[in-house]
This record gives sequence, structure tokens and C-alpha cells, in this order.
Amino acid sequence: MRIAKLAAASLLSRKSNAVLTLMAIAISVMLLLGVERVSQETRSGFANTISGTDLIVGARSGSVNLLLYSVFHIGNPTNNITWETYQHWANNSQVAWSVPIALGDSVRGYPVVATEPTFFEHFRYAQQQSLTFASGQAFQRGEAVVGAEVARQLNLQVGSDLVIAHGTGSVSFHEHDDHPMHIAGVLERTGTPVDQAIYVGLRDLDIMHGGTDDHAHDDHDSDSHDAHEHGEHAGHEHDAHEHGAHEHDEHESHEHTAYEHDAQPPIPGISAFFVGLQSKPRAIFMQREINTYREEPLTAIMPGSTLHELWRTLSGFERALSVVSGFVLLAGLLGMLATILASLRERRREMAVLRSIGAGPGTIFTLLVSETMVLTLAGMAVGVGLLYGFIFTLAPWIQSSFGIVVELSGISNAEWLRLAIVFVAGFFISLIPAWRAYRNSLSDGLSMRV
Amino acid sequence: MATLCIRGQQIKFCWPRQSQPTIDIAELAIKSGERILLRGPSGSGKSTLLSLLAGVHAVQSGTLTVLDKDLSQLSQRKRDKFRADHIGYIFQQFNLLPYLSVIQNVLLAIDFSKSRGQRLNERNTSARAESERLLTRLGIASELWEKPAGNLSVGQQQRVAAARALIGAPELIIADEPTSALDTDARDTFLNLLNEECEQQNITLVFVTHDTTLSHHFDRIVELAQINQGTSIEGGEA
Ligand SMILES: Nc1ncnc2c1ncn2[C@@H]1O[C@H](COP(=O)(O)OP(=O)(O)OP(=O)(O)O)[C@@H](O)[C@H]1O
Ligand SMILES: [Mg+2]
Repeated sequence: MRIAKLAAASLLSRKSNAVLTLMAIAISVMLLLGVERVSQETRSGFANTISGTDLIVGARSGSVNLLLYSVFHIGNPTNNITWETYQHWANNSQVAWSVPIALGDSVRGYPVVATEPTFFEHFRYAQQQSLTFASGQAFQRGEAVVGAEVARQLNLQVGSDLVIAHGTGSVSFHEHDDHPMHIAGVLERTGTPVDQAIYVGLRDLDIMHGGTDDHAHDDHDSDSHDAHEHGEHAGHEHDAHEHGAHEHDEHESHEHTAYEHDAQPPIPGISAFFVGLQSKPRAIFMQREINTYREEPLTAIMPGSTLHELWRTLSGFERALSVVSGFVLLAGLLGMLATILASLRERRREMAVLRSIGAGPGTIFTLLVSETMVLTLAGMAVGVGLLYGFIFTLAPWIQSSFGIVVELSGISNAEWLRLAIVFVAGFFISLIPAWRAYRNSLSDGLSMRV
Repeated sequence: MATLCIRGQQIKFCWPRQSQPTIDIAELAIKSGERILLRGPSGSGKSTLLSLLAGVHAVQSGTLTVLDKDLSQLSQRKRDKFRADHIGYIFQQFNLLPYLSVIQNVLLAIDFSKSRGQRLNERNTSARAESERLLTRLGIASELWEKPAGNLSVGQQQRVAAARALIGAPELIIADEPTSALDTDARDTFLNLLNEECEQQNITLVFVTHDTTLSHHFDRIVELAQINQGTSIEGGEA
């Protein structure tokens, strides 16, 4: 301990060198841990975003792509699925439940998910947790439900109005000012992309888009008459049109399943649908069946196994980053080695003094090792501090970009392992100047050759 | 024999990569409590002999007994401990660690030696109190005690070095030209104070200096050239 104190005092006397060396180590430790931390956190964050859904079905595309846009709202669907195809699979005897979603719109960067109100019943995240409403309830015609983060950021409550834009960018050319949506409910925070999303009915989305000529008409008609306060009237307005009658039905009866028996679709095409099966083990057969559907090219994925596929892709990247941060650490340690070796030349006098007081070459050796280790440990501590500082400042950005909540959790075993590696590497590095000083002190004795 | 502090017989020491021994002394005897002035031309091996006495290096042949311990029989580690416990060493200059305070520099000697601390305990005084006493005695004002040692003048630093050598009453003090950086007045004061302390505590003093005017402070003068058969001497004499 006495020697460690001496080492610390000596380091303090060379403060600027010590601080620079320490920062080099701290930054490399931060990188080394940061790579591990970010990949762990995103991994668990991603894994928590969806559970209880056996299959996700979309137009034919890469499975990772399908997962990313349907669950994480990252990227865009390549193609739509027709409503007829959806109906075909929704009515399959193996299917316990199914929920369609249509994507592509946004409000100030927050994705709009058009779906059916049953979404809130069937969607599960983390350990089979279902969505709950912080306030309000599921949407009906002309209404929207918003995730917790959207509500907070855009300052929305039940009863507020929301204008939905066309396209997914934060800046949008087509704002449907004329169709403000009424907020019917605000969801409880989940720490998943659900917090970042706005949920509306399929029919409402279609009206806004005016996808077909028919719908375009809808659009204009409702422009003039379909004020949001009069949601009930909207149905009557549409009565004149082909599918208007059914919407009317829906409103009268509040029967969500009405769509399923509907010959006239609420929207011509959807982006994807979530499926829950009667028997989970049949998912693999069902997946094959859907993938080989002749009427329309489809891709069905099991979310869990596609997540694994995603990790395989990312883990190569993660490994590359780890290797890079390993080299950064090596550079930091070599920098420390260079500084300490350079300092030895100026400190022969100090060594001679210590030897005259009774310090043996062994003590000099220990002194140099402790000095390097004090630097290494301080660098590690500062590095961990920087890591937490960064997570703290980056967490909101990660949440808004990926919908994943990064927790400020303690140091994990994998991180302790990496810290241990830094410690051991620092120790081995410390032996070099220590050995040099040991040799010097043996040959110099008490002579103060500078 | 017990009254002998240092006794060397047929001691030889040769630096690595030198063909001739720097030290080759047939007989060297210094009594306990004696104050010795060691003299010799530059390069004659004075500092080398001192490092043998202090146990920093070991003689390569012969026996060198200091305070009844045959240093040639001790391991490097034991010799280092022996030096910490029994020998105070003062250099020509730069004796202090500039980043420690004055008082910390003095206490450093206690840090490295338990028996110095024990000796202070036996005298019912603490390390702190004793270092304060010595510093005061050697004329270092108390305002300076907590200052970094690097801030002191050369003369003050040498007195602090003397305090560190003296603390815990080691039996032997070795000083290698400690006054050469001081002016004449300061040299005399320094030596007076050192001598007083040595006398009081019955400490043997081996002192190297080129300054002939200081001879009167010592009991005896040893001319290294007369006892050393090492080669450097012959070069020195030629
Ligand atoms: N650490 C060392 N390593 C190798 N050779 C040394 C070492 N120290 C001294 N020497 C050699 O030993 C010889 C004697 O040197 P030493 O320092 O003992 O002389 P000195 O009498 O103290 O001289 P000065 O009066 O100048 O201090 C010199 O030739 C020197 O080259
Ligand atoms: Mg010398």
C-alpha cells in the first residue's frame, strides 16, 4: 500500500502525461465495453419486441426485411398483399387469430400502423405481455391510438387531434390536414417500437390514400362532409359507395370481426399480417404452406428464428467492432508503455534516492508495476464512467431510432471479463518498464547517472 | 572487535565490463562512533566503496563486516533491509523526492524500515514528532514542512536529507560529498549540526569530501589512495 501511494504521488507529479495516458486507456475501455453493451442491449431489446406471434406473413421478400418493417417499422415493404389473400389465410383452420397491418405513413417521423382493433388483443411483447391502455381505448372509425413515446413527444392526450401525412419521412409533402384523427387511446409504455407508433383503422388509412378511383372519390366526398367530430356520419356518407354499408355495420354493432366476412375489403392491400396458430408446433408446416402459396408470392417467418438470423448477420459486425476496439486498447496500452519508459530516463535519480533509503530492486520493480496498474485501473474506472455517460446520452436516440429502451444496468459478466482482460493486459505491459527499472537500479546502484 | 563498526579484509570490487577492480583494499577498520573523512581523487572509487559499505553492491571477494554483519554473506534483499534499518545515506545533491512534502520525505525512511520506527517507540516518541524535532534542529522552519521538497533551496534540501538519514537513529551515516553544493558558511553549519546529532546518538559517520577546510570536523582522515590497490588509483597517481 505504501508503494501504491508512492506510485500515485509520483504519477501526480507527472500529471499531464498521466492524464493523457489515462484518457487513452479510458476511451479504449469505453469502446471495448460499449460494443459489448450495445450489442447485448439491442439483442435483448429486439428479443423483447414481439412474442406470442407464431408467424408474420408479407409479400415475398427477405425474411429479415419482413421482420424489420413489420415489427420494428424500419424500412418499407417491397409489395402489398391483396385483401383476398389475407382473407384466404385468415380463414385457414390452423389459424387461431390474425391481424393485418398496412404501413407507409408517418406523423413527424413516427410510423403510422393501420390495423384492426384486434391488434391490441393479440399483440404480445417481452414475456407474453399484452398491450394495455394508459388511458382511453382501442380506436374506431376516424380515431387513432398512440404509443407512449408518441403521446409524450407530440403532447397528445385522449381527445387530441392528429394530422396524418403520406410517406415515412419526417418531412412530408402530402399532409392530409383535412383528415385529422381523433385520439381514442394512449398505450402504456412497453420499451418496444410500439411506443413509437400511431395506430389507426385500415379503412381510415385507405380513405386518406384514396388508393383506387373509388377511394379517391371517397376522399373528396369526405373532405367536405366528413368532419372528425361527426365520425358517426362518416359511415352514412359512405353508404353510397361500395363498401360503405359495411362500415356502417361495423359502427352500429362494434363488431370488429365484421371485416373477415366482408366481401368488400376495407383496404385493397395490406403490408403484412400477424398470425397466431391453434397449435404452435405446426408453425413450420404452416410456414412452408404459405411460402408455396400459388395465388400470390408470400413470405412467412417465425419471428424467433428470424431474430436469430438477424443476430448471425450482426454478430459478424459485432466481432469486427470488438477486434477494432481490441486494437484501440492495444494502442492505448502501448501509449502508456511509451510514456512510462520515457519517464524512466528522467527518474534514475528518484530510483537512486529510493535505493539509498533501503528500497531493493524488487521494490523498484513493484513500484513501476503499481504505477502502471494505478494508471490502468484509473483508466478502466474512467472508461466505465464514460460508457455510462454515453449510454445515458445515447439512450433517447436509440429509443427514437429503433424503439428500443436501453437500460442503465450494472456491469454484466461479459463486461467484467473484458475488464479483466484489460487488467491482465495492463499487468503484462507493466512488467516491461518494471523490468527495465529493475535492471537499471541493479547496475546504477546509488550513482545518479542522468 | 565489537567496537568496530566497519571491518573489511581483502575486499575487491570490479564494475561490470571493466578489466581491473575499482576497489582492492587489504584492510579497512572504522570504530563505532568514529567520524571519518574519506578522501581521494576523482574516479578513485570513493563512491564505489560507499555503495559497498551501504550494501548496494556486494564485494566480489574478501569479507566486509558492517555492524557485525558480514555483508558478503547476505542476499541482495537482506542487504537492502540492512541498509534501510541501520544506515543513513546522504548524496551530493537531489536527495529528496520533489513531489513529496518535506516531512513526507523525512518519514519515507521510517516507511521503509520497521526497526527505525520501533527505536522511536522505545524512546517514547512518534515518527512525526521526531522528524519535526530533527527538522527544527537542522533549521528548517515549520512553514516549509508541508511544502513540496522541490521548492526548497539546495542547502535546505541537504539539511532535510540529513534529517531523513538521522531519523530513527541508524548506527551508521554515509555521506557522499553532501556539502559540495553549499557555500562555506553553510558547510560548517551543516557539519556542526550533523556532528552534534551523531555524537548525541553515538552514530558512526563516513563522510566524503574534496574540501580540505572541513578536516577539523573529523576524528580521522582516510586517504583512499593509501589503502586501495585498485587500478583507478594508479591512473590517478600517474
Ligand atoms: N554504476 C557504475 N557502473 C559502472 N561503472 C561505474 C559505476 N559507478 C562508477 N563506476 C566506475 O568506477 C570508477 C570509480 O568511480 P567512483 O564514482 O567510485 O569514483 P569517485 O571517487 O566517487 O569519484 P568522484 O570524486 O568524481 O565522485 C570509475 O572509473 C567509474 O567509471
Ligand atoms: Mg563519487
